[in-house]
Amino acid sequence: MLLSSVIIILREMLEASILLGLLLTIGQLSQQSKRWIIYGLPIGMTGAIIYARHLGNISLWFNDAGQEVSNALINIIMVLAIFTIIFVKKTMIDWGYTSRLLTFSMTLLLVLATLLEGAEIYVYLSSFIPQSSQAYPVSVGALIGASIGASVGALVYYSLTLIRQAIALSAALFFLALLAAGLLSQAIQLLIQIDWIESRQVWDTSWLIAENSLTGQLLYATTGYESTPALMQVVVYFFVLVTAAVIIFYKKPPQP
Amino acid sequence: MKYLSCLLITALLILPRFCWAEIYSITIRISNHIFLPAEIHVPANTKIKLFIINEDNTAEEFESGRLNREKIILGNQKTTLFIGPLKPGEYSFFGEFNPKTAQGILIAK
Repeated sequence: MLLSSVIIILREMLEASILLGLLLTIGQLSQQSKRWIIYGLPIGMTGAIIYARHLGNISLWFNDAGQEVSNALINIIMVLAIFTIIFVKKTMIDWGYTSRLLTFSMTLLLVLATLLEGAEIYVYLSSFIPQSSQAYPVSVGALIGASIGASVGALVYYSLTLIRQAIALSAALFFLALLAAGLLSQAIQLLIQIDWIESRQVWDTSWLIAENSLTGQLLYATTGYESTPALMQVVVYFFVLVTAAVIIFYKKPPQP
Repeated sequence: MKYLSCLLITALLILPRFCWAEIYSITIRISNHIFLPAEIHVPANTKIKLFIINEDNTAEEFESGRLNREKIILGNQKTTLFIGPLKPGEYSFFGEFNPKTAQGILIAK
């Protein structure tokens, strides 16, 4: 019970923690105030508890497809927010409200990531902590998992602050793009799972890297790795990644 | 042009629905953190509608890497999800909240 608790919490924390590390780097490089974290985290956690408590009803929507539909929708909004950040940071466009738009997108991302991952953690903990025999191993495991998860986010942040600023920004934006590609591919997977989209599996790399292995989990959290993706997932994944990469690495030709 | 391509994409998404009309339904129960039955046989190359009934008071998460599926089922709830069409073979699945006991295998033939 202890080990599975560590794994579950760590798995949920990893993606949100890496995202927070990247957002912190971008915020730092744009000399933004850190207010968005002060708002984002508590709103996200409250949202997670509300979402988790209503998950029973939400699951029943659209003939048992509510969970998938709402999660897919949240993923899609997160992808849009990531693209807003990439676009604003790279084009340096100034509409007058650009800085507010950036802060808003970062807060929204943090809120939604905390909500999604937090809700699952809440469902798990509220299910097993009330059982007195499980309370201790589950809580200790959760603490260990959460600490490892938070450390990975800190590692991302500190390693990005060590490298040159111009490179650090592009790197942080590229990692965000990887997350966006994974999120959209996951949204497609959810819609396939409820039979709203039809798409067959293209390959199986579970013999190489199993999704539940440590490497698989790390790759899933950073790049959205899946061992048996459907064709539509692969197409969407590379479409997002290439589009983002073009925005990030495109350099304006020098003006004559 | 934009509208035309949107229409085309929608059509491409919806059309295949009519090609696999056949859906095979199967039910699994979760009781005392164990899947019942723990071994299920399904036809290969057919879309499968999987009903999962969680009879425990605690939540469970149905998960399978090879089936590419993941779904939370709260305590005393049931749910539906679609898998396949699958190539013949064995596909393991498990309950992420109780991985020691909740293990199962799906065999497509």
